[in-house]
Amino acid sequence: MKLSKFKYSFSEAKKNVTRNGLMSIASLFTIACCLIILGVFAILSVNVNSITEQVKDQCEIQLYINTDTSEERVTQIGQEIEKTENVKQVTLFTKEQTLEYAINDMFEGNETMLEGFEEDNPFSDSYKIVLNDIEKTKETVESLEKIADVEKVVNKQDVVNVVLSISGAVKKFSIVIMIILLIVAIVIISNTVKLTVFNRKKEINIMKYIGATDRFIRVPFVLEGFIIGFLGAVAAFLVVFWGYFALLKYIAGLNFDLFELVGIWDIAPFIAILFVVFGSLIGVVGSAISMRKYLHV
Amino acid sequence: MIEFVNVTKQFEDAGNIALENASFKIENGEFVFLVGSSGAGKTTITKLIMRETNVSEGQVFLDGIDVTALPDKEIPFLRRKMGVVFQDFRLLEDRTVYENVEFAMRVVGASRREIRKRVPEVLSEVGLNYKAKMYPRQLSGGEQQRVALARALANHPLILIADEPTGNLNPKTAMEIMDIFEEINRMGTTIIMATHAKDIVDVMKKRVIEIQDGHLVRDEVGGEYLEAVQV
Repeated sequence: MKLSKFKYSFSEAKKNVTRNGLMSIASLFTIACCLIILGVFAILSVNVNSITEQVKDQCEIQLYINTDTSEERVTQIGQEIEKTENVKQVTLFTKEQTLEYAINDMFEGNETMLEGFEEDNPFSDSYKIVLNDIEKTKETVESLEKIADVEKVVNKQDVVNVVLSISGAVKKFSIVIMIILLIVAIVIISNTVKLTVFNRKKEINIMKYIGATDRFIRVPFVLEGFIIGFLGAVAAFLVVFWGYFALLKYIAGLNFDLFELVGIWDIAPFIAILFVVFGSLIGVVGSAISMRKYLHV
Repeated sequence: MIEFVNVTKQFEDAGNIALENASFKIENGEFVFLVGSSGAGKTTITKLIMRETNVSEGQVFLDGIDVTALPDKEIPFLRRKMGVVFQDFRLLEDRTVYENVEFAMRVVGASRREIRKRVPEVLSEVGLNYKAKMYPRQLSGGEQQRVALARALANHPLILIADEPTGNLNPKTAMEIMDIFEEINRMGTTIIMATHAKDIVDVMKKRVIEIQDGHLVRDEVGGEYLEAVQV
């Protein structure tokens, strides 16, 4: 398409947006609302992913060794653990370290409760194990339990399972919501453009008689949809950006450190691209759908 | 040259035959009236030339090209060879006289320079250059039809198709419009006009093709609008 024709189509599209002022604003508002909900779910998905990763990192296995095991054997067990499949990192906690931790951290202020334990340490040596893939925790634990002199292996598989299933459910739910919103928004914008097309039926008719190509007729309407979709995306982005910024600020004030939410500048480009792509797509597809039946003269 | 070869047109929805086995030729630069009662098939002929509809049987040639076999995407380019004028003018109410004519040139991708040159030129051909900034509602019926004519002529059509162009005009204005048509024809444009206007057909003494119930019943050069034709 020649530049002059494109300029003409674009100026026609702009005129259409202003001619149908109220309807354009209504569509823009609805698309912005759809995109805001979409953005909320996208942010939720990204954060659930990030939290899952954080939980995965925090999720360690604790392997306890029988109390009467020799130091030599404990070292050997450490080597055997390292050789076990899916093991990423192994750290030894001697019974002395454990006791020290108990005195200094767990019973701080009540140290007297642990008096005399130095002579008769009730704790056992243990290994803290970090896994490569937490979804294979069960199999790894079974292998570790088979090592001789291992008293027990403690893991947080239940917590991991809950986190994984929540994350999976959130992702699936988000996809369904996104598809529904996409369809709703396309229907809305196609109705707006249909109204414009209907109002300009006479003009389209004349254009056809004069010898306008279908593309020449269609482009201004598709651009109109694009403009509304794009502006809706910009509005939605501003709302979501501000909302998420406020949320992060509020959470930062709570001194909540169990897990971190994804930073605003890490997520903003993703949301901006998502909105512009979805907004424009909604506009263009919606207009194209409503144009089809009006091009036969 | 336009040539109809054994053309039959049957509308699927109505089931009736709008045109049956019609054959005729119109040479370049001719002025032809299509006469006949309402529903006789006059408009069907103009629609077939523009490929607004297609034949059921037969062929329509325009300068040797079979219009009936044109792919859909070629139709706009076929129509650029023609100008069309309707009884109800079909002007865009929210645009000025100048913009209505400019619009026709924009549609076919004319440059700004061409538009700036051609629009005043064609408006002066129809005697309306002094009303370029007015809106259609500010004009009389005759003036609106002149704008429609200017729009039809803007792209230098080879053929001008007019469907009852004087139907909404008083006799005096109608004759003024016909003078413009005659002038356009004198410059070499073929004119095909479907009309009920007996006075005009009788005065103009042009070729008359008469259609009755889908049949071509008369093709007469210098003919008149016969009394037998029911309006």
